Amino acid sequence: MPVILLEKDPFAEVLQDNKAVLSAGGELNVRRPLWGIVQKKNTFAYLSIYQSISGGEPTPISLIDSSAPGGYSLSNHNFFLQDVQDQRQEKFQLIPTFGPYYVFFYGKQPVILQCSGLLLNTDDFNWKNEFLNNYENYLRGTKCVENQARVYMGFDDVIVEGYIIACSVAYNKDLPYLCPFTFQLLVTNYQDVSEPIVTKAEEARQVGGTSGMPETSTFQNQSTSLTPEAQALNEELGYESLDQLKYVEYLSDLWSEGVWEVDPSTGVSKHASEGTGDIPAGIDEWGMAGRTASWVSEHRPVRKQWLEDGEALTRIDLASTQQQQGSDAVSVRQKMKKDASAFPLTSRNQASRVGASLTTGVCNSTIVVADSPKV
Amino acid sequence: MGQSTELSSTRVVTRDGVVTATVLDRVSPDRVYLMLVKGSAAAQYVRTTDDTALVPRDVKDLLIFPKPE
Repeated sequence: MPVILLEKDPFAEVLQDNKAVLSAGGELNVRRPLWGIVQKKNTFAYLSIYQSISGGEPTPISLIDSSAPGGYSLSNHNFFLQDVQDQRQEKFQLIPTFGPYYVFFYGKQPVILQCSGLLLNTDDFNWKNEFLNNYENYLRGTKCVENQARVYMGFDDVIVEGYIIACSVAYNKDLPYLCPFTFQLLVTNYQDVSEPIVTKAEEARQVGGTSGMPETSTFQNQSTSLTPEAQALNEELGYESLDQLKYVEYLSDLWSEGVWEVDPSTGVSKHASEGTGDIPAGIDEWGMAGRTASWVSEHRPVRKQWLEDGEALTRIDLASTQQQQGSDAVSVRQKMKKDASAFPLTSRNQASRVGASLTTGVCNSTIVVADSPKV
Repeated sequence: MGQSTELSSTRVVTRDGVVTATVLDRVSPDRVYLMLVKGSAAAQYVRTTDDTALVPRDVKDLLIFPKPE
């Protein structure tokens, strides 16, 4: 007769009996662009070179630029940057031994941006040749090192510093006036120059009163007389008063969880600020703003990541029978519903050592079972 | 003789670990030893006691040996 071996591979750090760990944040502070977005300003990508000798003030080096007076500029915009791939990776070592695997981390892999776009290739927009000329004389890594300089590329709301280590330009008969090109830039520095207007809930879009909100809020002081459509939406969502702050982009309750920071002297995460002071005005101390949806109700079970004993035994029975019989899950479940006693584990008492193997702790076990039920 | 066939293998995530349920048509002593060693090593790994039960009689009766008598 077959034998079932139940072997547990335990987590090194147990989740403990704390469902709040998995439910934390699951239904709180969920904000989505329900009322639109604020578009970013359009920008044009550019390439620059700056030289820095002995760590002094960086001085620019001009690049050939047919769009600039005199034919030279400090920032060349003569290319269409269409795609940038920014891939980050850790340096790590994975050791799969006889049982659980171990992993060691050693910092970051160098970041190499993969950039691609188009260069115009006409008599009045000689971008392709300009780019290749600049690359040969200034932009490529060897020339940068000779000149003690680095390349700076700005795009979107980011400025990256580094060395261009490769480039390619393609000529295609179907694109006589455009040359697709790519280049790879080894990043030595990365600067986020974005200017977000929403950095916390208090600055998010509101409709209604403005009591207690900082004056710098972009969405503050919106008209308190709503359009008919907004009024209808208010009534549909059950808002009680126009004076109450309406966080219209939130799909769940707002709740201030304070700030937890890692203390550098001890390495332990500590609560750095009191939570009550951070709750936006207009939200009561329990974080209820009259916007509770049914899925955040306490009556619904918290979605969890693991199986309880009974569920695990059922799952094992289901999968084992499927694999041994080659049948589908639906048929097995129907059989299980009709006659659970035919299944080796589901029919057993949870309090037995079978159930113990699945509860907290390490408790491997072996069980003799009858052949799997025919499905 | 001495060989066992794995009929099925299932992994389920429980509250504090991953349980692998392996169904074998027959078991060898080595496979049972492996189960016991795994339990002991896992318990040391997470700094808890090993509650692995003794191998029951009915399982021992089904143990196969490398060479026939």
